Amino acid sequence: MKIDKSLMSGSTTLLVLSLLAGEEMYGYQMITELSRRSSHVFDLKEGTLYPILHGLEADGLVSVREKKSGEGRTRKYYRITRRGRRALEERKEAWAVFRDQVDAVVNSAAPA
Amino acid sequence: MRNSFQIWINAVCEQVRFRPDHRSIELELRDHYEDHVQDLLRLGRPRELAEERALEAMGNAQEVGRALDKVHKPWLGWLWEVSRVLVLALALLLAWKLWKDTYTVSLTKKTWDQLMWTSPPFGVSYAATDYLDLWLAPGEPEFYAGTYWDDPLPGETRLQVPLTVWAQTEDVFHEHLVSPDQHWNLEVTADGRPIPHGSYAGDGSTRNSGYWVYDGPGQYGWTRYRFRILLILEEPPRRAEVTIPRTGTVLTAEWEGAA
Amino acid sequence: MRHWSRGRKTVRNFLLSILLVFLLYASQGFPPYTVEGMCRRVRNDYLLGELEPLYVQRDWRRYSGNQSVRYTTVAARSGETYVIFRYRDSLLGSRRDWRCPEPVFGEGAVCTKHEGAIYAAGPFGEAASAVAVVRAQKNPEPNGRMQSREFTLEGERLADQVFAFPYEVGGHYMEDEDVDPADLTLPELVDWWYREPVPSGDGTVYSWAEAELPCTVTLYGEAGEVLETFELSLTASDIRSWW
Repeated sequence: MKIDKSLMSGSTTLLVLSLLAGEEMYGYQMITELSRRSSHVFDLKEGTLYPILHGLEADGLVSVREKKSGEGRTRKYYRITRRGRRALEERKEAWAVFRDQVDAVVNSAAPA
Repeated sequence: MRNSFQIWINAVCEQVRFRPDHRSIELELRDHYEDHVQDLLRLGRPRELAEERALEAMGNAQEVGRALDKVHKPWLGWLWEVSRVLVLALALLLAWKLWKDTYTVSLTKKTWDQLMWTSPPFGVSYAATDYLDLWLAPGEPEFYAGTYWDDPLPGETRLQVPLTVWAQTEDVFHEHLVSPDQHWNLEVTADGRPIPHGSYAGDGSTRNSGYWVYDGPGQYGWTRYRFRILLILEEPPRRAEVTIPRTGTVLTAEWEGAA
Repeated sequence: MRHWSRGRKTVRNFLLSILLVFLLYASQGFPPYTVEGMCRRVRNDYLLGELEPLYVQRDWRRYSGNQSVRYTTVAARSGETYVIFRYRDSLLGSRRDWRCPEPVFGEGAVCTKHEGAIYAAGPFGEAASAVAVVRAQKNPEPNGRMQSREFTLEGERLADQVFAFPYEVGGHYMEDEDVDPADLTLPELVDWWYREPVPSGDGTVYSWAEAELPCTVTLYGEAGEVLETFELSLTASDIRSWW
């Protein structure tokens, strides 16, 4: 089932930070991992991932370094920073609150 | 074809106003695209289809470009470039000045000397001007055996009487205190007799006895100085006085049991 | 310090730049940029009281190699002591280098040569006009007579306590001893009469001793009456130098 894009926009940062909370990853790896974890529900337009990553780096929530991967290629790996972890916790809380509120409204529609 | 990716990435970069970042953006996005192509090929798709799918998955070039442009703000980028150039230029300039310019003081030596300055011993003669604190202590007279700046003439023996002067200035805005004798017109007397400032004769030998100022172990700090006055005399004095005429400050040194 | 974002690196670079500029400035010995800074330095170097600037002049000189250098000349006063000093200006502050003569001091008044004129500083506020008379003297050869010549220079007021007395510079320094001293300008005459040969390897080199030339400055009032006279002096090497 495809999710409405408007619900996604604010929470992409939350998703990206959650992915990086576990390990450092490069861009394409994040796309595949995201797809895998969400059972292929989230299908982000891949090009739009990078503006988000670059923005997070500029804000100091993630840091970048170049690493040589197996095939002799140099890739940019992103890793979460301490500040990023704090931001992640905040957003998780905010998301939980948001979700509960939406649940409360949606589930309290009393049938006539 | 690779060509269509090139067109796509060019369109993306066109939206990014800060040009120096174009290269790294292109590399990162191209890596991503090629990774995707590889994955699709591994799944068995034909090449043309794989490339088309992967490119489509990248998204709209203008949108991606504009989003990147918002992050790669040109003025921030240029500020960064300027800061790099500035640091490099200044570091090179400082290195060049320290190495080549004779007018440059040695920062490390001056700071070291400042820290290594030992206060004058308690009870020595002290005087103060508006700007300067001075202390004077007598040293042991010794028969001259040779200094580093000249040798006695053959058959000449000289008696050298050292005086140590400590100075502490109020601020750092002064020239290297290298010739306090010339700048301050020091007047020195020994047992009431005026001692002239020593000078070389035209042929480079020392004919006149008198007093000399030199740096001894050479301590020039930023605000703390120490130098020596050497009196060349016939016999050991009982008392010496150093006067700075302009300020009227007088420092005295006394020796016990002099002849 | 792992991998800083560009923003933090930029801030770090600017802070580093400030540090480097300070180190550069310190390595030059904290040179002054303002006239007040110069006065403070002279005050500290020569243990004077507070120096009050009376007159400031900036001149440009062009050296071979087309380099233009600016000099700041200041006449100042501390109590009864008058000083005239000169600094060479550059981007990294001003300094007194070998081209700038040592400051000249005088109790009650002082004078020195600058840019084709005699500059004098003193309590000249009341004067309507001033005249300087410089006396040059050639020591007699054994059997010769003493020669002397006086130059009378009209004063131009530059400031409340500063006058300038311009003279003709000329510029052709004489080698020929047959010339009539009456035809020479002040620096030309001083160059000739006050030179002393210094024996050197391959011929004679001249030096100009610190011989002093008396310079009498007379102040006149509105009606031409003499107000005050100051007996000052100039050095020979100063007058004949190409400043």
